[in-house]
Amino acid sequence: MIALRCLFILFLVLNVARGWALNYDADRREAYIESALASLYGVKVTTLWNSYKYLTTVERNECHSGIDRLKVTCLIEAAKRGCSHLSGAAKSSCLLYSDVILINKLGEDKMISPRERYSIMMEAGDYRGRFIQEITYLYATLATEYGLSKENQCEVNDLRCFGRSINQFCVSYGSRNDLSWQYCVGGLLWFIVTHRTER
Amino acid sequence: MRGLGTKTITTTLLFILCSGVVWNLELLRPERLRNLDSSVPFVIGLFAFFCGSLFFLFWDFQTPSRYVFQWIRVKAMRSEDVILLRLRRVALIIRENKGAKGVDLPPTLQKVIYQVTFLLVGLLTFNNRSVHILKNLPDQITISPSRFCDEKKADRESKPEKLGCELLLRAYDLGYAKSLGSCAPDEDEEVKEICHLRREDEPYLHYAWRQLTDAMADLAWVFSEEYRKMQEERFSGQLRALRELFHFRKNAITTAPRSQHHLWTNFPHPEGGLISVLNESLSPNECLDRYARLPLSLEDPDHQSMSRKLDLMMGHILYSTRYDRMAGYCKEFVVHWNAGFDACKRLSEDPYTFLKEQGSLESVRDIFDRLKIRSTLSGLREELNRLQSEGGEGEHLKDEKGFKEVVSFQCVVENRASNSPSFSEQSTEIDGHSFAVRSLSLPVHDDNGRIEFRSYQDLARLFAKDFRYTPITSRAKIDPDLDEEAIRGSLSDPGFLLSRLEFLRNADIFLGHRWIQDRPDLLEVYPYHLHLYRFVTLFRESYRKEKGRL
Repeated sequence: MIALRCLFILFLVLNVARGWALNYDADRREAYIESALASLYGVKVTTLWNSYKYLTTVERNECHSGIDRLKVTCLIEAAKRGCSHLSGAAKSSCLLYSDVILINKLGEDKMISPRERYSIMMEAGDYRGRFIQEITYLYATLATEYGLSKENQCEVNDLRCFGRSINQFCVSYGSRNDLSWQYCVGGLLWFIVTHRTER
Repeated sequence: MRGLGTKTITTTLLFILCSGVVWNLELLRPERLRNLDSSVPFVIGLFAFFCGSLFFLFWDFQTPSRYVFQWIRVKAMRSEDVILLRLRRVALIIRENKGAKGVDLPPTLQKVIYQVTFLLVGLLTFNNRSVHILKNLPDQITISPSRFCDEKKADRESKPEKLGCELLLRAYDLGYAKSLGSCAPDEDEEVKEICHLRREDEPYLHYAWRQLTDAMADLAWVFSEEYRKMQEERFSGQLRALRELFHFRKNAITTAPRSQHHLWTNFPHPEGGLISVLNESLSPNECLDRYARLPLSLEDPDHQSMSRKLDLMMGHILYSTRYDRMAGYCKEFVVHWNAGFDACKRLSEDPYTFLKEQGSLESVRDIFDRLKIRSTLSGLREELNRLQSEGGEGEHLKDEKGFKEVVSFQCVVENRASNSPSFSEQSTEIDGHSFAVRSLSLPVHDDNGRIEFRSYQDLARLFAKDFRYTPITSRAKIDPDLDEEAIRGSLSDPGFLLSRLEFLRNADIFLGHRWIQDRPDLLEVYPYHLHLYRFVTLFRESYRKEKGRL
């Protein structure tokens, strides 16, 4: 099963590495989500959290900027550097899950308003932990909505179906609830993978 | 046959009645009795003992009954007997119990029976909850603080809040300063309202007497000549404005339109004439539902015709409730589809004929009537307020809406010959009121009839002349290096598809970046909620300064 999964990941990430995703049409988006999901599943949760911590540190230090363009570019470069010690399929997988982690980092400030962050800071002893807890609640709400949506009719291991359904869900959910598509996708993928139960 | 004393009968009947009720309500069930708090049986017992004893003493059950109930032969009846029931030969009577010959239960037994009866009454009336309430009753008997004058607030208000005066005030109080100087209270300070509630240290009887004297004074005022005259003037004022009052209420009950805004356009009807007629007749509130569920994407593939796009644009900027308080009520905006190119010109030249042809003259005049009614009633309200405050100045009323704010006329015409939108303005006069008639000539570039996003700005300026949407007011952060090439380049790089979409956040589609319109894939993931929300909110703020509803 694990070998099959690795082969699957290899197939997908090679396609991505070919510069497949040059535009954002529905097919490409679905394929990208599918490959990102595969890469997230192929990695331990501790590795994901380590990458999260690394990008958080980078975001607060060298990539800290008021100009979004510079910040995003810097973070992408930092994520690439974080995966540079790997090679081949592992590197491609690292780039994929780093993208998911990165978009969640960029979305945190937008999903929790400055007022809410201020109140968390005033009330909680461990601000960071409490903040992550709040974000997780938001992701959980998103995942619940997704789970109850008509788009979610996929079998457990059907990643292609998940790619399609998550894309469709996030397009319609974002329109109804004023949430950017990329934050919706990133939040869902992160929550699904970090809260999976091992079978 | 000896009669039965009335006291005995009463005692027995009461006991039977209470027993029957208690039995029927199953109050003697062991489970219920076990669930009673320890204080409840005590209260019931105490109640039964005291009430039973007092009742026994009060009704003087120690002495024999004064009257007796007796079955007696009709022949043996006396004249003073009261007949209750008469049969052929016997009758049930009430007779005076002379010589105490009537039969009565022993006093002790009657006392016991009454105590048992009151025990049953206690079981009926007392339970866990009622005893709990009785226990907490002393705590609940507190007079609400709102019935007292807030003397702490008065103290705070009475102290002048002039900066730097605390030291001088203290010195003055101690006698070190002979005058307060500039820290003295202002002579033209407003008179504080006198508090008529009870003072903290005021005895209750004194407060009650004050209330009574105030009430008597009010009553005297009501019966005075001055009050009568005032009421007469109020009534005659309202009688004079009876027609206006009637129509005011009628308009409120029938939810008559509170504004009329007309838009003429040469675009065809988005749904076709027959469908629209059916919709309007079968679902008069259809527009409310439709505009509450507008798609966010401005390039919804289902809305390809120019008419639908115009409808969508108007829905977003004016009616949709997802952004902010509505700027306009969709039922008060009349869009005249399939109008001629010269609609606004004809309106300005001969408004009566044109509006009559369009079937809109009456609705516009209805609004004029409503405005006049409102003006009349405002005058009446001022007069009534003046009377109420005994000759003082009436309450200051809010500024009334003008005619131009609640009635407006505009046109949108398609212009395939021009590359840029253009505005023109003419004027017209209806029933002595002049109105500006603004026209927007909208360029249509594509063969598909696509409307540029820039058209949102133009349409917004048609409705709100002073509206401007600029990079300063946009939520897109100003970044001089973030031009079209930079964004295109970033988006075309492989990898990090999710993160690269962040570059779109600062590409405000209402301020250029028309290349995004050529990318339907990007439009699907474009963050409309950021820029469209901002655009619509700012527009509505500007619109409300110029136009509104009654």
